[in-house]
Amino acid sequence: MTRAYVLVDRESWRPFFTLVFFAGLALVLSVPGVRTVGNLAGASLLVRTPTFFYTLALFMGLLGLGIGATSAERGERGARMVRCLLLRVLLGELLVLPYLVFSRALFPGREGAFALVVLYTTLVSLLCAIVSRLVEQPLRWRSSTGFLVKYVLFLSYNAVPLAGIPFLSPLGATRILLEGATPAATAAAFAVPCALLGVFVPFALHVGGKERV
Amino acid sequence: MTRKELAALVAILAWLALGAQVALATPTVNAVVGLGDRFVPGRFTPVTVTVAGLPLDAVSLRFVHAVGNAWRGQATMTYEVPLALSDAGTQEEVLPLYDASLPLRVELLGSGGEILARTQIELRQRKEDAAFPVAVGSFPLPVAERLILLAPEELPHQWSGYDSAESLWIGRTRGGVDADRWDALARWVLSGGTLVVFSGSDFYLLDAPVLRDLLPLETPVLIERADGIRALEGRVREDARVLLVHDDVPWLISRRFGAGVVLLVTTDAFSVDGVELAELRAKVPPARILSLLETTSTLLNEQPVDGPAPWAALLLVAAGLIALSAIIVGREWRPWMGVGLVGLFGLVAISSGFYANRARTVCDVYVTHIELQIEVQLGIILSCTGCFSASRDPLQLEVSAGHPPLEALPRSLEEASYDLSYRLGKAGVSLSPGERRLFVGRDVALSSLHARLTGDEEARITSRLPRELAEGLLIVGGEAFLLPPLQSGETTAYLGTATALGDAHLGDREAPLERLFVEAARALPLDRGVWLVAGEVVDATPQGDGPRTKVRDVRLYVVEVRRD
Repeated sequence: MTRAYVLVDRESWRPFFTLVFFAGLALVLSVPGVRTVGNLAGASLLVRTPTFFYTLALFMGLLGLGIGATSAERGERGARMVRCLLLRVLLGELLVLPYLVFSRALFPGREGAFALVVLYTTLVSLLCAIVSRLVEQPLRWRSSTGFLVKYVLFLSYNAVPLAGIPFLSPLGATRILLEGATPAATAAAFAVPCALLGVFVPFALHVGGKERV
Repeated sequence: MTRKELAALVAILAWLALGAQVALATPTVNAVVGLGDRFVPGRFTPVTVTVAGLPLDAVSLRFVHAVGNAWRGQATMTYEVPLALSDAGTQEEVLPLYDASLPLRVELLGSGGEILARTQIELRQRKEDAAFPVAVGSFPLPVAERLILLAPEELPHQWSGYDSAESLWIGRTRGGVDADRWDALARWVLSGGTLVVFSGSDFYLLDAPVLRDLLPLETPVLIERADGIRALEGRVREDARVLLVHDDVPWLISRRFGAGVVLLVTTDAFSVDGVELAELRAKVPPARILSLLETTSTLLNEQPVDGPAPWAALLLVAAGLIALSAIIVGREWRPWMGVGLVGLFGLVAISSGFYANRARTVCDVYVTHIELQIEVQLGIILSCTGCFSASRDPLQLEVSAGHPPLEALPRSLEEASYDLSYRLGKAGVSLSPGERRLFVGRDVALSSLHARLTGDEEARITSRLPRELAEGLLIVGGEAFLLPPLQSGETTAYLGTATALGDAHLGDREAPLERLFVEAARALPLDRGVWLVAGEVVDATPQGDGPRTKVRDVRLYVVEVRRD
């Protein structure tokens, strides 16, 4: 029997806290801490790169893995599971909303790209959550294997495509979206998580079985 | 002549006539580069273009100058200016030339941008490594080494065209120098040039109102010295110095004019022997044109950066973590927690939006534009624009300039793109992330400020500028009086406590205006006569489609009110 509906509580707050902490850290490092142009020339490389958004993309994925594991622990199933996972992902986006608003001052005139990045990271996070849930379910008796499989998959998803097809990776896609990509590139970036969700969501609904009350 | 021969002759004549028609209808472009066909790379250089067979649809001239080589890296400078030919079919432009290895391409363009005629000017044999002395008119002896001899009509009409001259010597000229060229020469001296004028019996050939202003003598008259040589004599101005005397008559008199020097030889060039010439050479300083490059670079470095403060970001992160901990950590899930999270983080997001407003938005480009306007009878503008890219991406920037600007190019052109495209008062350049560029401009100034001492303790200042000048000084005989903000129109200023010029400040110490004032005071004889000095610093973030740019405009006006 599943436990009562829980969005976040004392047992599942860590992935959210990690997201808020590391995204915040990246935001702080992205702020040019200099007062004059002369100092700007030697400022940290992080100031000139969208570190905050890369961190957001990475930690939204990690949030997905965390909440997927929690969902497996709680035995959530079916449509309710998907709905709960989506709500938790959206909560993650809400928690970083103040950072996104603040980062408007660091990347002026790219509000459209911000919206696309938020939508994209939401999809990626949901994808990671569902995959995490699916991986954890049969391997719960060997949690270390589940952990290993999840994180190897996640790192591969983020890193491997960067070598040749960057839009397949969340990090590469984030960069493409921030740089003001063409509609075709944007569509290609979104196609990957959408297609994977198209495969995994029905699978999760089917394999996870009907919701038990 | 047989009928066949006659027909052949007619055919040949017709062919020649047709050829002549075609030749006349084909436009041709020619150009003369430099002062007497000589130029120094890295300086402003006059280019005189002659167009023959001008087509009706010709609208502009384009100069294409390739800089660098395979080792140094390469850049292309393109300058396009509207076609404005004189009655003689010539047009003088002053362009920055940087290199002599490749020819300068000159193109006549039609209204659709098509090339109607073109020519190439080899620069290699015209190159000089350093500024050179220029002599105008005729001389019995070479007055200096590496001398370039010019006829008066070969002198440029624009003062920046004299940039390659180390000193300019005026000897015996048949028709004198025309008024426009005297103006250009006076402006060049004002900016730091050195002018040597031989006078004596040739004075009245040269005489012109501008020359009278430049001369270290007032009311000059011709006298005959004891040795029978005719010399110019008059009242030596208070700011002039007699450097050499022959037969009890001043022979060489020097006077500072703006940042430059005028040396008057009171005899004509043909009365000077070798010994006197050697004495004279030793007294002629090389031109030192006032440069704002260093000041601009320093002020660009000191330009404040816009952006949110790191402490604000830290506060935001702390607020987020505390709010999250306070609501979730250690609690069982309750629906009010969801409402609380949405409410609290929504509130933090709104506060964050209020804080990170337009004034705290980072800029892609920082520009410091410095302009020093000097008015002594005639006016000049010396300007320098420094740009710095704080952007994460390469970007295109347009720098406003009345004439093609001279850039301080680095030794290596490999690091970034140094291409420049000048058209209709805008110089288009590309900036790489973290790159800094400096552009020098020179122009003619129109009278903007005028002051009148209406009593011992009162001055009336008239400003033709559309805006207020916040800071101002009136310098009388080396003593500075602080002025109230100068409004557009007339301002009456009561002169209070005087400060010695060396202790006077224009605005705050170390502020941009004060630094520019120090630079001007170093070059100009502000300690003599009456001077009006006023300026402003304007920070702006112009709205537009291009990269977000923060511009700091520093303008200083230095006006000679009265000469001793």
